[in-house]
Amino acid sequence: MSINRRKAMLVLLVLAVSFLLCILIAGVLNTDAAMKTDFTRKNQPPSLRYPFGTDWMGRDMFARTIAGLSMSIRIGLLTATISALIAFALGSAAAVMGKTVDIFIGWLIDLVMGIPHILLLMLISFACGKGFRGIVIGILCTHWMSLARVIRGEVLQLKQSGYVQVAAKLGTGRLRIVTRHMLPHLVPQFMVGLILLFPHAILHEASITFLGFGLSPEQPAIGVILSESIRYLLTGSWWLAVFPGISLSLIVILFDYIGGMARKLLDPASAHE
Amino acid sequence: MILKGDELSFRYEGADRQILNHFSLSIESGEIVGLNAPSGFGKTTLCKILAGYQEPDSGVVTLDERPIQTYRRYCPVQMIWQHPELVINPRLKMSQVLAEAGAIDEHIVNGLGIKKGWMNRYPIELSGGELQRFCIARALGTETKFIMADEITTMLDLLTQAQIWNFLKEETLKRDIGMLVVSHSKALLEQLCSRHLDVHNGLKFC
Repeated sequence: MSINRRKAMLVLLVLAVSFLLCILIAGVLNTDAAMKTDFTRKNQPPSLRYPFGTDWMGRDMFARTIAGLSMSIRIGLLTATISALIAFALGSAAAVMGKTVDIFIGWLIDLVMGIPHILLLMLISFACGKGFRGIVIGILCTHWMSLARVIRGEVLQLKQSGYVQVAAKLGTGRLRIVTRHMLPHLVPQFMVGLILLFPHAILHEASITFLGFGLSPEQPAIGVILSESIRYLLTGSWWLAVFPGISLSLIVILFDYIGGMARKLLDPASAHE
Repeated sequence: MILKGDELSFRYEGADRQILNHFSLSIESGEIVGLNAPSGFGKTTLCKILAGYQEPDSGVVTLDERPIQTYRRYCPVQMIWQHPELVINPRLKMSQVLAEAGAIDEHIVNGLGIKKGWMNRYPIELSGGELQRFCIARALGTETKFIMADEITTMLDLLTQAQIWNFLKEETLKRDIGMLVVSHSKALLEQLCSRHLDVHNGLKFC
């Protein structure tokens, strides 16, 4: 059996997704290990036993990193999915519900986009009491705009497209036009937009947690790990920041990669690659 | 049946030029009417108005006295477009594209030279000429009474053109379908049509 690029990509996609799922589940099962302090093993550099070293309280940094990544992925999944749904609803509403709604949603998009992202995120998270809830609400309110614009444009274009007009003249019902001619075009855009929202959401979660407006310090999160490690970097504990930082970047790159692959796989023009 | 355009006027929004100016025409069932006009004279616009895709600024299109815009389901006036790739959903297989028009007779599919193997392909895997055959077949649903053919064979070689026009002529005569044929080729219109609308002979295009 010859393996073409499409199949190879599908295998990679499955691998990448299962890798992320493993981290997600491992982190959830492993929270205790990530919190466990043991002063007999504090400040140990990376070794076979502790691949990412241990911190000043003797916590296993590998377990903490996995738990932190898992938390990031959970926040990412939750916020990206809901943001994408908000974007879909507002984007299609702007396209089909007439001029007034369109102008209002356009104004809302400009308004939210006009305020610096991270600032708005901090304000909302702070106003909602920080922690998990604050971060989730903050990211939800600040990440839907670009995708909403894409969806709006796409729906407007589809409404005007030749095949939608022809379908109407051939007696195809409205619902069928939406399910047959519009959704199949929107879903790939939506999926790719959704997947590409993950890295954004994850990075923003980590940054505002790092700045102290996000998750609370006792939760194992990458932002918490990074901001705490700053104090110990000068004493030579480089592993406290390097491994969690690299893992976070890897996860973000992986999501970005999955998004890119999904886009190609969902496009019929690349069916034979 | 009679397809009538009465006092049609049309101008694109924001454009200076009046595309149609109190233009009237009528086509009867079984009649093949030819229309030849230079580029940009509004031939496609006229087809779109007659098939109900576009509403005229003034005037009305009727099919046996019933306004064309009131057909909410299958429209008896079907238009075949110049660019088939724009009117076929790129995400549907060709069999699904065809199925949208209801049941299309086997002899139409064969008469247009559509091969069985094309049915399972996506539009991107067929050429413009091959796609156009599907568009023609799709426009020949059982309820079709009139066809607006807007330069439908421009992208085809002469042999295929002949094959398609012979079939269309035979089919429309058999089913008593009226047809408006828009083409730049005077020879084609001479061969095909029983009557000609020529914009230079006093029709009020302006």
